Amino acid sequence: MSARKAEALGYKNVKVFHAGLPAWKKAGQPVVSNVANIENLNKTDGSYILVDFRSKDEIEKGHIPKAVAAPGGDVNALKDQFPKFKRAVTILYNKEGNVAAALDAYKMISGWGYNQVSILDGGFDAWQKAGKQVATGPAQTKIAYVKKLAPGEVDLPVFQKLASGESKDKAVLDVRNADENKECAIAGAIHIPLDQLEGRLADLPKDKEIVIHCATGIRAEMAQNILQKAGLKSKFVKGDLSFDRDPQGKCIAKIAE
Amino acid sequence: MSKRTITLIVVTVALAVWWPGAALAAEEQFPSKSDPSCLKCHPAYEKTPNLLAGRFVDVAAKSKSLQLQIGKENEVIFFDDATVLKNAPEYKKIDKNEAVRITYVKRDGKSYAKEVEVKKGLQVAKEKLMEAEELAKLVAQGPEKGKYVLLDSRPTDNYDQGYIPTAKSFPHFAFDNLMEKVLPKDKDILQIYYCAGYT
Repeated sequence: MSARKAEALGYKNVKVFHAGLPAWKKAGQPVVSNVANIENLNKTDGSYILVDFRSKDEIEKGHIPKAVAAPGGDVNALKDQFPKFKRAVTILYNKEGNVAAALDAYKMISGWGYNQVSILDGGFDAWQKAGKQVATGPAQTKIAYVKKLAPGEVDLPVFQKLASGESKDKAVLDVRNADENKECAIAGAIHIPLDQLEGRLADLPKDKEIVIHCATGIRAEMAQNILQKAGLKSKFVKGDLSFDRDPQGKCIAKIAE
Repeated sequence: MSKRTITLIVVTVALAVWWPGAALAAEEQFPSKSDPSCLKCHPAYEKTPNLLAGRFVDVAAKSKSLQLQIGKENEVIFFDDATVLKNAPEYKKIDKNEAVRITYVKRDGKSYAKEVEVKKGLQVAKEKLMEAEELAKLVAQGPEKGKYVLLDSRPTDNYDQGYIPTAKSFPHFAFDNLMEKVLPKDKDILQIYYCAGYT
């Protein structure tokens, strides 16, 4: 442990914030991120939300590319544009990286349930000082956030088609429990509860891609891991599904709003 | 008795003598898998049978299974009412990415947990512990007025993505290389270390 190493070097006043960053966030304290992080996100094509708190004039003179404007840190007007995905990386900045000045907005967005919010350390000044690209003119008018699919995650439109019986080259696997499956299940879906999956791999088609679903995505992801290890081609549906019957009594699976 | 069986018995007896958990040695053993981040501090994990050590991903209560990230892979482990859960009131209360150590057996190709332990890490003497509230007061003053140096021990990537205001990046694994650059000259100034929680 670093603290012990420091003590061994003769430092006499060494302490440990043992609960670490998770506890800091839980206590409602703000987190900052840096210029290198934005660069890394750009390099890896990671989507993120960038909000500029400076005045309209300052923004037009120069801002970080992709930023949307919320002069004075008034983020309320942007609320409807935030994605459903609560782990969306969100970076807030003002001129000099003043954490106290950005705190109200930080708390408000965190309060909406977003848990990857940070304030840019050093603000726009640090960005400029690092010699990074600056965009001029008005900021973006809308948040354009594209959620990146997790490894093995299926595109939702693909699943929607599948659920309505439109694509025949794929198989649907329901890994929910028997009682859940009995209540409402997608027509033609293979049903194997997750806890029986390893013993029943032989029941699955070898020549088709298998799209796995449950009710929330958690069991489906676990099942996808199992199939992947068994060498079967598969994807899983991440996110909450709702199951309802249409007037004809047919079971319809929908991604919950 | 075949030669192979005899060899197995000899090995088992040898293990039983050598291994402290002698009672376990008679049972079938399953290979251990550990995340590299766990092995850095616990190299013995690699040679401990029936052990899975990694980062908690999530739990599915309806199928009584949980996922542990070990290296680049996720392992699915089932549990039942007989599984002992340590350091957490229930599975749902385990935070994502928390370090978890599991003792397991394989049945019908599935991994079953006998014990799930949420790691609470090294013990730190009470007088050396810093709490969030106290740290927040210092951070509000800043390093000069508060007379402190705040050091983030996590890898640089994690630091870049989000850190406590005023913290400097000082990855544990680069301690020796960076110490001259990062650590203060003054041996009496308050140094505070933190990372991603108990590891």
